[in-house]
Amino acid sequence: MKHLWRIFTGLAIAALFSLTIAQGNPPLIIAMWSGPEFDNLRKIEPIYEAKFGQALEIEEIARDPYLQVITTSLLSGAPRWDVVYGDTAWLPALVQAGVVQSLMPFITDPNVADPNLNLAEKSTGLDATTFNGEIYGFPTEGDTTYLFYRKDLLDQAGLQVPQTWDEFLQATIALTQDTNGDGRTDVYGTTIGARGTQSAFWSFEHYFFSFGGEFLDENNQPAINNEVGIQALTFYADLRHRYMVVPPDVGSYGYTDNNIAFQQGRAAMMVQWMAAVGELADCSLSPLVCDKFGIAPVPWRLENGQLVRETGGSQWAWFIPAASTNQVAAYKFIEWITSVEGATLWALNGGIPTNTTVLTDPQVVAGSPLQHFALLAEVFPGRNLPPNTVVTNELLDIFAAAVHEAVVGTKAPQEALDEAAARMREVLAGAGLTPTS
Amino acid sequence: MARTQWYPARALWATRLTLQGQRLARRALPYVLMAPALGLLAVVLVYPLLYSFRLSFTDWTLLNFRTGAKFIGLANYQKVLLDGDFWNALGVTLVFMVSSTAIEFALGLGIAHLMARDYRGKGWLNPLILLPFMCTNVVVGLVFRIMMNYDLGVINYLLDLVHLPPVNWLGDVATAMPAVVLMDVWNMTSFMALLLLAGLQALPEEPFESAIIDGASRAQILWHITLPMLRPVILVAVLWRLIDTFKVFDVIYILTGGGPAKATDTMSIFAFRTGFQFFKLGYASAIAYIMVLIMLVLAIVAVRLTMQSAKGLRKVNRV
Repeated sequence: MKHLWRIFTGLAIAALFSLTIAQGNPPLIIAMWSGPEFDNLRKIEPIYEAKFGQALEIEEIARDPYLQVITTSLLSGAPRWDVVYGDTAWLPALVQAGVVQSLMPFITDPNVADPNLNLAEKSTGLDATTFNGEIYGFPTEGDTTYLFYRKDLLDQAGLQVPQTWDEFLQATIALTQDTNGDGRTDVYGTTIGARGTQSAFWSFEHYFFSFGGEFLDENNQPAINNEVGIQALTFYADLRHRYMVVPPDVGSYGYTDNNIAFQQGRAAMMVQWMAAVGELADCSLSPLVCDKFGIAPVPWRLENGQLVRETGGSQWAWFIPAASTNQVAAYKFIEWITSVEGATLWALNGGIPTNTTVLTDPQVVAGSPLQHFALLAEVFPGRNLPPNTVVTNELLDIFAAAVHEAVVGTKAPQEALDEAAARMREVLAGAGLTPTS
Repeated sequence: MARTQWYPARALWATRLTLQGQRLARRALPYVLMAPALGLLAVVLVYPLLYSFRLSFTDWTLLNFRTGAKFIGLANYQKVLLDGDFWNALGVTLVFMVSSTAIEFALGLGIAHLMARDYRGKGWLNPLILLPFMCTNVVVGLVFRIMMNYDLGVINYLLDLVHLPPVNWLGDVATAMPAVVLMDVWNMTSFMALLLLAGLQALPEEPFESAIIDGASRAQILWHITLPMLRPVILVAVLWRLIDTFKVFDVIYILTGGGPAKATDTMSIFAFRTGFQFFKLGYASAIAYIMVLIMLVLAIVAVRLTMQSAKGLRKVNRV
């Protein structure tokens, strides 16, 4: 019996010792939402571990409650994660709350920062992570939209790919068809998103910015209800009410619903996030349309006789929680994954590189479905992001509610936008961003 | 001599002390055994309740997280009562509560009567009726969202088969609430039926037998015997559903997100949006406490009704 105890104790000590040796550094714990980005990170994990001897532990969190989980956990001050993947629209409020670590101490420390660190390569998304002159995150996954269109249906109708909003409208009218003569529309010219959550904003913003819409003016006052804003929302709502070229229940549609409508052949065109390219080009996921669709820039607007190309977008970033106990290792990781080497891997795995050198790398462009990174590089300069304020999240919700109400028809576009602008003014004033009236 | 006198007194004291100790230990034992559970409850239930109550008197938001929230008295409560979105949410919740519970009760009573009867296949059909209740709310919401899709949903497909026009279930202000109620009725009627079935099976047979001998019709038996005798169970079942529908969140959030145009924006969704989307936790706590107050009133009314009903039933039985 005594021998058994000795053997057991010896084994336990040996196991503990070997575990300590094997672990070396404590693992870097990364918060990531489920989906393609998580899959991508899982592929990168063994490469990073082999290269730097630093173990990664990726915590997968569901997409819907991601913001709530991230925010509540960060506010608790618990050192749960070392790196967080998040939308830059959330960053200002988190920075204001003091729960995100500035990257400046690491960037300026020659013992920590890579001597080859090139911030200019990250410039397309760096504005969205910079507050009061301090960088709080390194950008990745810079998203924008394309016009997805069915080549076969456009050919049948004898139409070209629309380049302006007028051409787009004419095409949607021509492509909306009752193909079997039962009195019901079988194919809609397009589909839009107006679900009663923030997603209504993320669907509409591409129209809004493309029309030339302005979120906040130079005095930080809402400008969404200016002439152009009203024009854009009227166009958007009219697609449902006046022209009836979208499914009637788009008031409950988000990103996935639009994708399904296109995948099932119910919509001939859509302005959709570029993330849809991979899914639609995959014939196992989209057998009806995978070889029949094309992508193009979102239609242009005419301004003083000139065509102007603008669209909306979103920007994601890696950042470090202030409560992390492993900040230097965390910085080294986010510096590497956004460098040319890391971003190339990220892109070849199906991600979107915000790094400009990678974005124009012929190998990366050739590896993207439909070689869409070439198009991305083309449309990226015209990308607009929501304003960078501590109340952005709330402003987006207010804007989304206006879009939703106009599309479902409970309010006229101008009325909805006027009310939204008034509420935005209150929120901005409450946050001390504009003087109270 | 003195020693021999001293010892019995000491022994008496010792015995008394031992007895007192044993009595004390016996009395304390239940509290000692309950202490871990009560401690846990205090940590996970009482503390958050008190903390959120305190929060409801502050201006806690993400923006003043670092600097600290200020005590603002009843300002949050005042603001809630002046907030149009709150009254909309309260109205939506009441409509949902009353319509869902009423339909579920009517259908549940019918189903409970069917389940109480002896028929072939009862052994496997009765559990089958309970299947919808066993489904997770998130799954129910997602499945109904697909079923109610205007173009691809099975419900509009079935309507089309009988030459009825398709319904824009989730995209129209007029049809969104009926769609939500329909989903809840499908999901929870079996639960109502289960509670009523338990009540039905506990009723004595004699009043029914004498009513049949006296020539009472089925409707008369239902109205004058079954429903009055079932009243305590009905009250519990209805109250349970009313409270449950009052705090409904997940299933509606997934089906409609509170839309279109806030037509299905219930109190819980409103509180969630305020608290966990805008992170105005002071304001959201005030909304939550108003919800608690409403539920408390509902519960008190229902408990009183149940007690009165039970008293009445005892009187009837005595007569």
